[in-house]
Amino acid sequence: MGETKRRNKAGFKVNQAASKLTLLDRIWKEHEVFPEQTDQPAILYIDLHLIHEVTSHTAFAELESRNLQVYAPLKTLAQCDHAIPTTRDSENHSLLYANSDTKNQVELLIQNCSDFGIECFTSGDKNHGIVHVVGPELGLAWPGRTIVCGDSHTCTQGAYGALAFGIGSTEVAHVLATQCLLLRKPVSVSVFISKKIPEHSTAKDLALYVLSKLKLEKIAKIASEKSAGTGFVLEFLGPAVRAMSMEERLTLCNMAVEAGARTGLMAADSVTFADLQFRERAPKSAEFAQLKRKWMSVNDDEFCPDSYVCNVTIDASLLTPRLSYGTSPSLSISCKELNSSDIPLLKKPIDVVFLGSCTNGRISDLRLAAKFLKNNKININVTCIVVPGSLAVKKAAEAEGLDKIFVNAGAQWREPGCSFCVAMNGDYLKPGQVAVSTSIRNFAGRQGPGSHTILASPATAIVSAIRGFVCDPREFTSET
Amino acid sequence: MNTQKKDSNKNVVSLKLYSMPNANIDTDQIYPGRFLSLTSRAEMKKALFADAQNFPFLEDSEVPKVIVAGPQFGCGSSREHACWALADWGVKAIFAPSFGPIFRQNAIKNGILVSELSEKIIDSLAFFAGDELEIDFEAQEILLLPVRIPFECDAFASKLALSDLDELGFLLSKRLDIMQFENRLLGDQT
Repeated sequence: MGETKRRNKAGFKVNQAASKLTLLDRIWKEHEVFPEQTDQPAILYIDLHLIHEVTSHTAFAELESRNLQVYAPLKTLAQCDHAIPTTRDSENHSLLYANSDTKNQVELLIQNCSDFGIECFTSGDKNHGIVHVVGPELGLAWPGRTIVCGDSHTCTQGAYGALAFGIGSTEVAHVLATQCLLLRKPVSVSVFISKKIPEHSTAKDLALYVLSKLKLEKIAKIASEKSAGTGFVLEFLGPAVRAMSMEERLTLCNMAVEAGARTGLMAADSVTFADLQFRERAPKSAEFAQLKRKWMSVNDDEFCPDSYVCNVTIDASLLTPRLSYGTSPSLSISCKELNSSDIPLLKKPIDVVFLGSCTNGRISDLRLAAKFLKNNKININVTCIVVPGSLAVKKAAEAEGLDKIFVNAGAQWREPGCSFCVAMNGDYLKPGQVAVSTSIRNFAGRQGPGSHTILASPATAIVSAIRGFVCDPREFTSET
Repeated sequence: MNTQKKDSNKNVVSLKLYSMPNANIDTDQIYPGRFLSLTSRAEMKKALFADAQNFPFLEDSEVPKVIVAGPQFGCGSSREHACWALADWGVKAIFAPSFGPIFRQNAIKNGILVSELSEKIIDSLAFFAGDELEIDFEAQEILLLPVRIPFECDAFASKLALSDLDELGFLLSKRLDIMQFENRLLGDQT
């Protein structure tokens, strides 16, 4: 075809031929009931609707007020994860709700799901957990699907090549009633990540690093000009992404919304399909083979920069463990700058360390933290709370004896849920407290009014819990 | 447009201007997480900026308002509670260089006009904090006469305002097409 090949900043060949479809283009096109017009957004079909107790009750009320049924209850799945307690009464094992509001909210979801015929999981159920942890666990996130949830971190599941994004409660009602959304198509921004994550750094460090490197205001401006306000999605490409495990990819995709994006997306490859193949609710046999034929793409040599409104290149080999220091996740520094920095927050003693969330609440995260904690103790001044992302994660960790490592070191081993990340279930920081958290939001007072959050990987968080101050996990490794 | 009209012939409304110039005013700041367990809309108003310092102006809750804000207003959590609380406080319009995308959708669905304006224009509007700002919703202009600042707003919201359908009503009117689309999907898979 006489294509001219050039190289991107990372030295990878790029295809300068006519721009090809982005992953967003492909998924979007397949789900358009009606394409968008000047005065009308597209009607987009939704394959899977995940719901939780906080953002669904008004939607059910709306359906009731219009005398409507849920259009596709079998394409809807509910989790009680936000308000659900992570502690139980030591004697009768009942859940210790923070107050009657949280209890009512959970019970309302269970009732609504029962009334409308929707599968719902709550604490103690086999498939209970944080909605974005359990979706992939069950094999419900697969390439080419559209997935929505009234929760901004739905973007996490884009790691499987699904178009997965957060919506508001009014939109939850739309999807419940029609399995469709009114939405204008976002534009695509490519994030090409070259080389690979160095030893002793993690996907979480990469997420914080990418956030610090993206010129967020510039991207938002370009996207706003080219997308009629719908915004943009980040498509992650490149060898560093290919070299990551699925759990690492979920951690990276989880941060897309913090960049101001609608969601993050990663094309499926052999890692994706190997992970998906034996999951309970993933497509089986012929259907799986067809899915693989269709979406197993990825040859980053074919990357067409012209398909994107903006192209970003990140060199993963420059990565080191990171710590956030402000009230936006895009503000972070490398641990190696710790000694030379004069950021007061990073000099303070740590009160709480929270290990969990849809960012870092999976089994690989707990294994990593446990590896550092073995034969060590949590600092006497630190409360360390470990909240598995799901019951499956909890059981897997217990089967490996990780719970004992945490408990013997002085950490608390909790029931699954969102817990300290959204801080509405009774797990929250007191005014003035400083926490190192493996979640992805350090917004002012998010974990409790007047509290301070430092975001870090499970390795950095647990090492800080041992020391009582934030520290570089690499130094710790060299000592032990 | 769901906006109170001062003069119905002119479609001009007068809104009290509030400036929130900081970047990244996330929905946690607008509506702190611990109030998320509330299920009654009437109670949600009390959560608005509950933990924010220096928001004494929250008192005059009856007055219709416009906010001029910094970049990424409403970023973060998808909680529509932030929009409900703002709408119940009287917010009719928000101008900012950029918005959190989910917040932006939610605002439109709650009858709040949202529109992107350059930081330069936002800064110049912020100068009028506390004053009344006149906005012509039909002509889509902010009136600082003799200056008129044009803004764009959601064409679909305007279109629906002229029909007797809301968004859900519109979607429900397309149910047959949605079912046909599903049948086509099933056909493709076999």
